[in-house]
Amino acid sequence: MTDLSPAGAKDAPVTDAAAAVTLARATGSAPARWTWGQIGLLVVLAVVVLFTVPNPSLAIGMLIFGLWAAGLNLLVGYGGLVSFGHALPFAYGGYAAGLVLKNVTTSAWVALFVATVSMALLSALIGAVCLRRTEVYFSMLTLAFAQLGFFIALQWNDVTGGDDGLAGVPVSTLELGFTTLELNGLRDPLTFFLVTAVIVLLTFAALILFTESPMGRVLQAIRESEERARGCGYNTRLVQLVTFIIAGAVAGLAGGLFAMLNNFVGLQPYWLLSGVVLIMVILGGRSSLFGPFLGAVLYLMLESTLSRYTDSWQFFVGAIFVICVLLFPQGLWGLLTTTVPHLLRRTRGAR
Amino acid sequence: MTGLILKAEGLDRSFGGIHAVKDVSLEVPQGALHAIIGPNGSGKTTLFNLITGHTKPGKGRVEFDGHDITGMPFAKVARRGLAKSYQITTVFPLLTVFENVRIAAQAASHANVFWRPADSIKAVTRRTDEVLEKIGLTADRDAIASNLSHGDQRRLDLAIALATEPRLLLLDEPTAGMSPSETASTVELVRELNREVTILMIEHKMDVILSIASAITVLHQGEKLFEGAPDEVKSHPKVQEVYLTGSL
Repeated sequence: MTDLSPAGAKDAPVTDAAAAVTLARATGSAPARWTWGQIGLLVVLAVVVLFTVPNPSLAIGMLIFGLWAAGLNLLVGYGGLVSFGHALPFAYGGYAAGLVLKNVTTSAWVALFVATVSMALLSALIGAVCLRRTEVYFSMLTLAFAQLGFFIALQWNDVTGGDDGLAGVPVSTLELGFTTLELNGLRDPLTFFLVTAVIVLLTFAALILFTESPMGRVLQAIRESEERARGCGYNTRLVQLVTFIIAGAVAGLAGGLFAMLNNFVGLQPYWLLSGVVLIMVILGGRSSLFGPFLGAVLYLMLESTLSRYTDSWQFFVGAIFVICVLLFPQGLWGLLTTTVPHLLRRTRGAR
Repeated sequence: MTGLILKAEGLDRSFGGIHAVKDVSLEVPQGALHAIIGPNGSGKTTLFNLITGHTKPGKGRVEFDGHDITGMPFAKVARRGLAKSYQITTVFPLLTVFENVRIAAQAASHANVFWRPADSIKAVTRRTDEVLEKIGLTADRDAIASNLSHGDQRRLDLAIALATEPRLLLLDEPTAGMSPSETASTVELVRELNREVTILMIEHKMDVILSIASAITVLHQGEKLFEGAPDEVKSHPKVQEVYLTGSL
């Protein structure tokens, strides 16, 4: 599935991601008033992916990457905090799940629980430091931590497998009380897909609840004016830290699922991976949680299609990204919910 | 005697070589509408910042409702019931008018949780509607704040401060940049708000101050020049000399 091999992947998205910081802050419109309906949209998207994407592990990857990107969008779109290090909790969540499955138990529950909780804790520590700064300085700190994490993973051979990656992660089992499912992405991709879809949907619903909760609303107010939010009496740093922890936990969960899918945790450059998930968010649109899912599906589709024809597929993905950003800075979701209805109204008005 | 809601003693602050506020003391009783006037650069906004904790005082102390709040972070001061409206309009630009005010009302309700939808908290939405009605922004409740006219944004700024249910409201030139008719309605609004909440305000327009203030402090080059009722201030020779000459 998504082939982010270090060899050919060193150039393109880094500069794109740099442009993304400025872009990510200029949201340009109020969040669209689609909230709970997004769950329905995600069900539809999952069904479409299930029936149209021929490669099952690509289809499952779309759900996993979508969830990862949606979590990141809490920070980027809702909080105005552009993280350049979101690969870290994803990759380390993968290691956490992989190590549990290899050494402790093959229970998927335990592995995913450990991946999620450990990344929440790690994010609490990292967030407490990074959130001492704002704007681009915050972004640089998150990048620095991701780099630190990358080199630890690279050097710590005994635990992570270093450059070779953590191989031999066993197939996990999911106890459901009445039955026990084997989560084998190769032999039984449909079961894996459905289980992933359920986990992703539940997490997605929880994320929507967060954005609609008093705290989630304050997060958006802080994005608009931190000074004013403080003037209302809010502890703005705490709200941002809670968000950072939630985004990290979701990335850990996604990383754990991804490790279970591949039975392997590879070492990929985190600056690239962080850039990719940021591109998914921006491509899909920052004003909703569903947008990043669209972005993930689109990105992975482009990648798998283009890489069949050319080795320099990243060049084309980069070019498409630049064009999309110039033409629809609000992303695919913004295009569908704002621009298209606006054009329709105009043409109707003209008639 | 009614209690003092705010008591500042010997506030002093320099920035480099500029002595912005020199040994200023201030007492604001409950229910007052206290105004601070003075020419540009006389230290009015710095004095506000010393009170709110935006700027740490070099010397002196601030008591709010009997508690020492000197140098306390602004958010903490705000939680104790001190709200501020801004000289340079500060609202949440891309949120709706309703959400702008709702965020502030939510702060007062202490319902900052994340396991239930914000819109389901009835007390907060009711309070929001009340404040919008009082400020006269009900018709614009669904508009995006940044699309409002300048005057309406000033009023929204005031509405946010009011929705936090403060016991002391600091207004930093509430009529700045307003047209004469907008100014008149804002003055009327401030007078009305004063029935429920103590107000300390900075104002430039003399006619505004003289008609509504219960007490006036005149600042000049960082020092308190005079303090008294509007009539006294108006007739005081020193005040006329430095401030009123040419403006009345």
